[in-house]
Amino acid sequence: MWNTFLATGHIINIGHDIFKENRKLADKNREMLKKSGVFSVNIMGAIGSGKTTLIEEAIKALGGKYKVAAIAGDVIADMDAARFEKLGVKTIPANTGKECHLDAHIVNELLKKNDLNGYDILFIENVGNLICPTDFDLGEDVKIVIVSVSEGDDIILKHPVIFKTSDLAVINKIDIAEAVSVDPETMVRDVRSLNEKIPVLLTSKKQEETVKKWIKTIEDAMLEKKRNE
Amino acid sequence: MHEYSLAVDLMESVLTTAKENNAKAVNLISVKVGRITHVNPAQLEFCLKSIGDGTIAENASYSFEYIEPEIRCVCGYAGKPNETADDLDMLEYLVSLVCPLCGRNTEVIGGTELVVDSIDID
Repeated sequence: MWNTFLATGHIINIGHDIFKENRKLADKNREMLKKSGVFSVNIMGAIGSGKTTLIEEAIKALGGKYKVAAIAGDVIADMDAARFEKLGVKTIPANTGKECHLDAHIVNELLKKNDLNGYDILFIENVGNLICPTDFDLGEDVKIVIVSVSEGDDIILKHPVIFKTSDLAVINKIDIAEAVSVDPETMVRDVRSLNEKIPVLLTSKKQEETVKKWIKTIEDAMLEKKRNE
Repeated sequence: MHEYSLAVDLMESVLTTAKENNAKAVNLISVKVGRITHVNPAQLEFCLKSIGDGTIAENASYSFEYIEPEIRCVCGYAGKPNETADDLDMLEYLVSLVCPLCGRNTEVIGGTELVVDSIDID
C-alpha cells in the first residue's frame, strides 16, 4: 500500500535523439545525391530576402550549360515552383503544410520520386525562415543564407546560429541600402564576428556584376566538388 | 517554431518504449536539449503535455537538461567551451563560444541534439 506513495516506479533509459533521425536521413540523401552526381545547395533566408530571385538568376545563367533542378519549399503555395518551371528546369514543389522548414524526410521522399541522375546542380529553396531550418540537415553539399538589407542591420546578430552553420552568406538588395539606412559593411562585419571563415557576397539584382559573382560562386563550388569526386 | 512536430516524435518514442515495458503510467520524462538547437524547453513541454493528454503519459512530469556544446578550433583544440552562465540568451551564448586556448571563434561540433533520455514508469 505504501508503494503508491513512492514517486518513482522504474526508470527506462531511451537515449533516442530526435534530430539524429533527421541526420540519418540526411546522410541517406547525401548518398543518393552523390550517386546521381548532383551538387546540392540548400538556400535559406527570411521571407522576401530574395531567395527565389537569386536562384532564378543562377538558373538563367547556368541552365544552358548544366542540367539544373530545383526544389521549391513553401508552406502552401506553388508560386516559387511556377517561377522556376517557367525557366525550363526540372522543378519539384515541396509543400511543407504546417512546417516552418524543410527536413531530411521531405527531401528524401522527393528524391525517391524524382530521378536526378545526370543532373549537375540541385537548388533547394528552404521555407522563408532564419531559425528553424538550421536544426535540420537536408543532406545538401552547401548551405547558403541570404539576408536583405531591408531586414535591418541587426538581423544578423539576432540570428547567430544560421550564420555560424552556413557555408556562404549573401547580403542582398544592396541597391536600396541607403534608402533603408543600412550600411552593408556593418552587416558583413556582423557575419564575420560570428563566423570568421564564411565568405560573404553583397548582391543586388540591379547590379549585374554582383549577380555574376553570385553565379560564379555557385558554379565554382560545383566544379570543385566534381573535381574532388 | 517547430517544437510541436518535435514533440510528436518525442512522445511517440516515449509511448512506444512505455508500451514495450508494459507501463501503466509514465511518471517522469527526462529530455536533454542541445544548447545550440533552437528548441525552447518551455514550449516543448507545453506541446508534450497537450499531445500526451489522454495517454498513459498524461500526468507525467518533465525534466529538461541542457547538453553543452562541443567546439573545435583552428588551433587544434577540440572539446567543451569554458563554462558560461545558464541564463545567457542564444546570442550572448554563441558569441561566448570562443576557444579556451587561443580565444578565437570556433566551430560547433556538438550540442545539437534533442534526446529522450529516460522515462520513469509504473
